[in-house]
Amino acid sequence: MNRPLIVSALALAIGGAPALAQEDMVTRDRVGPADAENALTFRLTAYDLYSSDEATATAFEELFIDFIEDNPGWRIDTQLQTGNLNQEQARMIEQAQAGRGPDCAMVDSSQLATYKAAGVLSPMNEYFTEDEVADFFPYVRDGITDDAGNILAVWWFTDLRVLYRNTEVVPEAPQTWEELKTAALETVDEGYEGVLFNGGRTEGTAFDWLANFWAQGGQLVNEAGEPVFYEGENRELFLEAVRYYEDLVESGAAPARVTSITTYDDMLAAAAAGTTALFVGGNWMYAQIQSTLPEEEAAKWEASELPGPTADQRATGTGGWTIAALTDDPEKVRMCAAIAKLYLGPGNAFQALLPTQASLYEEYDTYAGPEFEVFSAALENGQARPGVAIYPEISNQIQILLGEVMSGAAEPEEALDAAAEAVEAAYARQ
Amino acid sequence: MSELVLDGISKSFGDTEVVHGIDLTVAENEFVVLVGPSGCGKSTTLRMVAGLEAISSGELRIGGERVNDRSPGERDVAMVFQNYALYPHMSVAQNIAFGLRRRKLSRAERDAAVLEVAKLLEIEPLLDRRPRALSGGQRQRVAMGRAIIRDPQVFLFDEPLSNLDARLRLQMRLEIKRLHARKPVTTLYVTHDQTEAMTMADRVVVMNEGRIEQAGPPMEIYRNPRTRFVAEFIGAPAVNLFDARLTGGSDDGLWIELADGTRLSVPASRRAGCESYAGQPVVFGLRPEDIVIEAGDGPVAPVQMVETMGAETLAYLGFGGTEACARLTGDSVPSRGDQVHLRLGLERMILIDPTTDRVIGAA
Amino acid sequence: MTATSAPRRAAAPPATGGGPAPARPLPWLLPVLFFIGLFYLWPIIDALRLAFTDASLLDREANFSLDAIGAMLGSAALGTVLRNTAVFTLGSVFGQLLLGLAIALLVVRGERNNLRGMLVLRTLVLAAWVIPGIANGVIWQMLFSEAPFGAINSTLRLVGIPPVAWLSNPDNAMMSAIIATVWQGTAYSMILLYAALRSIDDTLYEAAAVDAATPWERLWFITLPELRGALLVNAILIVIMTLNTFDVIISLTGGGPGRATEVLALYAYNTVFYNFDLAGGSVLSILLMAISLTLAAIVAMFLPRSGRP
Ligand SMILES: Nc1ncnc2c1ncn2[C@@H]1O[C@H](COP(=O)(O)OP(=O)(O)OP(=O)(O)O)[C@@H](O)[C@H]1O
Ligand SMILES: [Mg+2]
Repeated sequence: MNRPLIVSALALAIGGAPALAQEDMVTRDRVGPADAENALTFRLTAYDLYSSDEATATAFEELFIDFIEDNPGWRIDTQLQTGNLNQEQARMIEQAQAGRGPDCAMVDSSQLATYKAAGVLSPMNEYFTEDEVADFFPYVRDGITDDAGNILAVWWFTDLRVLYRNTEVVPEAPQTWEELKTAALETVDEGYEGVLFNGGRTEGTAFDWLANFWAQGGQLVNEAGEPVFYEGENRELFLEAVRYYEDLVESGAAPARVTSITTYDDMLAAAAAGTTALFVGGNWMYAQIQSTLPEEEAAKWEASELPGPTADQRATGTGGWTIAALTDDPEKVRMCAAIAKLYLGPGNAFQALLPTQASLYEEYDTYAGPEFEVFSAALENGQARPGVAIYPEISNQIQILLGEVMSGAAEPEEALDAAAEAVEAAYARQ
Repeated sequence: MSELVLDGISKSFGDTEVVHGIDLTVAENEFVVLVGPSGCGKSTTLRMVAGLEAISSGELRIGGERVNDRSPGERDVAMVFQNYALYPHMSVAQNIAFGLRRRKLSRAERDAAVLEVAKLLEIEPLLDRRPRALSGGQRQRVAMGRAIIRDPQVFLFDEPLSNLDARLRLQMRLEIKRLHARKPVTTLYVTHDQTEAMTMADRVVVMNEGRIEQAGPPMEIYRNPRTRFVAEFIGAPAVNLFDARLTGGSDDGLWIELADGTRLSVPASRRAGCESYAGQPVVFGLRPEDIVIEAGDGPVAPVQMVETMGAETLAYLGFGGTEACARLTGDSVPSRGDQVHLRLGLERMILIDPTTDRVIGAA
Repeated sequence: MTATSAPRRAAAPPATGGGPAPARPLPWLLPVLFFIGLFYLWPIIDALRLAFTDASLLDREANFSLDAIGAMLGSAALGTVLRNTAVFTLGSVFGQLLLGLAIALLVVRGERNNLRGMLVLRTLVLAAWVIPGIANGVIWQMLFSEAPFGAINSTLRLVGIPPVAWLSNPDNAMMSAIIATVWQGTAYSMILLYAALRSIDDTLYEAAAVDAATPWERLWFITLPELRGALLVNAILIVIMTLNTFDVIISLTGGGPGRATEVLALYAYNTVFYNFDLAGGSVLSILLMAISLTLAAIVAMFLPRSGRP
C-alpha cells in the first residue's frame, strides 16, 4: 500500500471519528467505546436497552451513554437473555458456578433465592446508604438481604396482581371471593365469559392464585424453608383457596377454558374483544389496556385489589426483577450497583414500572395517575414468593393441581396429596 | 371375434404429433409385429391400444367394439413389458394369479390354472420364488404367464426380448412363436429388431416417423419393399445400394450404369416397370444373397474382406464404385485380395427413385 | 507348485470381503469415530454418569448415589407421564405417516396428471416443517383458542357446530397436541415418502392397470409393499423425534391442563429446570433413550434385508 493512501485513510478515519463514536456508543453487544480499558459484562433482558419499542430503546441508550460518560475508561459488554426464563436463569447459575457467568446480571426476583443459596452473588452494601436500604418496601428488603444483612441484589422494580373490571358492566369492585363470583355470574348472564385468570401450566397460574392462599395467612414454607403448605392449618387454608377456584369454574363464574390460559395476553385479547368484563392480571396490564383498546373502551377499565375470603383478608403476589453482581472484582461490583440504580430510578420512571422504594413514587411525575394509588395501596399487602429453591417445584405442582381440579380430573384433596408427595420427594433430593 | 382395428389413430404430446393416423387391422389370432427404428412411435401406438396413453384421434376397436374410452382394465388386453414389470413383493404364483382376482374361482381352481400356465412355460419349480430371485429369461416367462392366464382378447408385447442376451433372445423368440401356435391369440408385438420381426410375424408392419411405411407378410416386405426405408431397414446384412443411372434406347435394351462404369443389363422380366426412368439416375439395390461368386462372364471384383460364419460367408467386394456385401453359402470361400467373377440375381434387384425414395414399380 | 501356492493363498482377500477393502480401515475411520464419540457418545456417557449421582444444577458437587434412580422410577407421576408419552407418540407417528403418505400420494398423482399447483402444495407442506416447534405451538394455540373468538371454534360456531374444548379438556388436549405435532411433522414423512414413491417403477402401475387393478389394489399390492422400507425408516425416525420433542407441547399446553399432556421429555426438562435436579433429569433422559432405542429396534426388525426375498 502506498503512503498517500494510508495518510488519507487515516485522515478520513480521524475526521469521521467523533460522529462515528457517538453512533457506536451503543451496539448490539456493547455500550461505550470498544477500546475502553475496563469491561463489565452485563446480562440483561430484551425489554429496555434492546427493546423492540424504539422510544424505550432510545431512552435507555441515552441513560447508558450518560452513564458511560460519567465512568470514563469503562465499557459494558451486553449479553441478551433469551425469553425462556427458567432455562436461562438456571443456565446462568451454572455458568456463575463455573466462573463463566456475567459480571452483572438481571435476575428474576423469584429466582433470587436460588442465586443466594448458590452463593454466587457479591454484596453491594458499600453502595447503599442506610436510608436508601430503609426506603425499600419491606418484602423487597427481605428478599435482597441475606441473614448477615448483606445487600445481595437490587430489586429494581416490582409488580403485583390486581383484579381488572369493565366498570360499565361491573361498577363496584368485588372485595370478596363471594362478591367476585356473584359479579362474574352476572356478567355471564349478560353474555360475557365470566372472570378470566391463568389456569394452565405457567408460573402465572400459581402466582396469581397464591394470593388467595396468602390472604388467609397460609404459608408455603416454614422458617427453615421446608415446604409446609399441605400440613397442619395450612392444609385447610390451601384447600379453601383451591375450592374457591374450583367453584368459580363449576358455577360457571369462570369459563372452563381458564385451564388453557397460559399468558396474560389471552386476557388482554379477551378484554380487547369485549368478551370478558373481569380478569386477574398484572399491574403492567393497565398500560397495555390503555394502548390496546380504543380510548373510550380503555376508560371503562379499572383495577382493584384482588378479592379475599373476607374484605380485610387480602394479599397479592409481587414479582419483578433484580440486578445482582456475580463478579468478585470490587470495581465491577461498584459498576453493577451503579447500573442497578440507573434502572431503579430513571429507568423505572420512563417505563412506568413500579419502583421498590416508596420515595420514588413522590420523586417522579410518572406515578401521579390514580392507578398507582391502587397499586401502592395493594402493595401494602404484597407477598413475595418464598426465596427457596423448592419454590419452582411447588409452583409446578400448584399448576398441575389447579389444572386437574378445575378440569374435573381430580378432587382437591387427592390432588393436594399428590402435590405434597411430589414436592416432598423433590425437596428430599435438594 | 377378437379382431383389433386401429382406425386413423394419432397421438400428440402437447403440440407435437408423434403418431400420424395409423390404420391397421390385426385379424383374429394373427401375430403382427410392429417394427421400426427407435423413436418411431411403436411403443406409443401399442400403449394407445393398451389404454396406457389416451388416443388423440381415430378409433380403436377390439372385437368390433369401440374401446377408445375404456380403461386398460376394461379392454381385455394383456401386456408384456420390456422390463417385465413383475410385482416384486409377490411370488411367481401370485404374480401369475393376479389377473384372476376378479374371476370368482375357488382356490383349487386358481391353483390349477396357475399350474397349467406354469407347465406351459416350464416354470413350475419357480412358483414360490420372488421375481428378484429369477433370471431374465425366467422373469420373461413369468410375465408371459401373467398375461396368458387371463386369456385376453389381445396380447400386446413391447420389446419383450430386448433385455435378454442374444442366445436367450433366440430361444424365447422361438418359444413365443411356438406358444402362439399352440394357443393362438390376436397379438401385436413391438420390436426394433428386424430379425425378430421377420422370424416371428404373420405380418410385419414397418413404422417410420409415426407412420406405417409398409405392412405385409415377412417375405413380401423383404422381397418387395415399397420404399428405400423399408428396403434398407429389413434384411441383415442390409441390402446393397449403388448410385446408378438407367440408360439405353428402345431396342438396344435397358442398362444400369454404376458409378465405376459397370453396365448391367436389365432382365426382360423387369423392364416393363422401369422403362420410363431411362436416362435418369436411380438407386440400384441388390440383396447380399443375390450376389454370387461364380466363374463366367459376369463382372470382376476384388475381395476386400471376408467374414466366415459357418453356414455362410459374407464377402465384401469392391464393386460399383463402393463396397458390396455378398452372402455366400457354398463351401468355397474366397480370400482377401482374390479377383472374383460375380453372378448377379438381377431379376430380384430393387430400383429406387432417388427423388421420392420410393421403389420403382412397387405396387 | 506348493511353494508358489502358499503365498498366493495368503495374499488372497478375506472370504467375506465383497470388493477391494483397505487392509487397515481403522486409520480411515478414526476421525469419524472421534467426532461421533465427541458429539454423541460423550453426552450420553455424561448423562449416564450423572444418573448415578446426586448432582443438582445448583450444586455440581456430585457424589455417587442411587437415590435419583429410585426417586425417578418410583415417582407417582411417572405412570401418567409414560401413558401420555405412549399416546402422544403413537398418535403422532401414525398421524404423520398416514397424512404424509396421503399427501405424497396426492402430489405424485397430481404430478403424473400434470396438475398445476403440486409444487405449491409441496412447498406449503414444507413451510409447516421449517416453522420452529415453539412457533407451531403458538400458532395452534391461537387456532385452538377456546375464547369466543378462537379461530377454529368461531368457524365451528358459524356452521352450527358447538365449540370444542380443545385445550381445557384433558382428553381433548392430548388430541390437540397430536394434531399440532402431526401438522408440523407431516412434511417430513411426506418428503421421505414422496421420494420413495417417485422411485417406484411406473410400469408396475401400468401392468396393474392392464390387469384391471382398482386404485385400492394398486395401493395395497404395489405402493405399500414398495414403500415398506421407507415407511419403516420413517417410523423409526419419527418415533425418536416425537419421543424427544416437547417444544410444541410446551407452547401449546405447557403439559396441562394438570398433567394431561406432560410427556417424558417435558417431564425430564421440568425436573432439571424447575427442580434443578440434574441427576433425576439424567435418569429420565436415559429412560427416554432406552425407550427410543427399544422402539427403533422393534421397528427395525421389520425392515426388509437386502439379499433376502
Ligand atoms: N410422454 C411423452 N411426452 C412427449 N413425447 C413423448 C412421450 N412419449 C414418447 N414421446 C415421443 O414420441 C416419439 C415416439 O416414442 P415411442 O416411445 O413410441 O418410440 P418407440 O418407437 O417405441 O422407440 P423405442 O424403440 O426407442 O422404444 C418419440 O419421439 C418420443 O420422444
Ligand atoms: Mg418403445
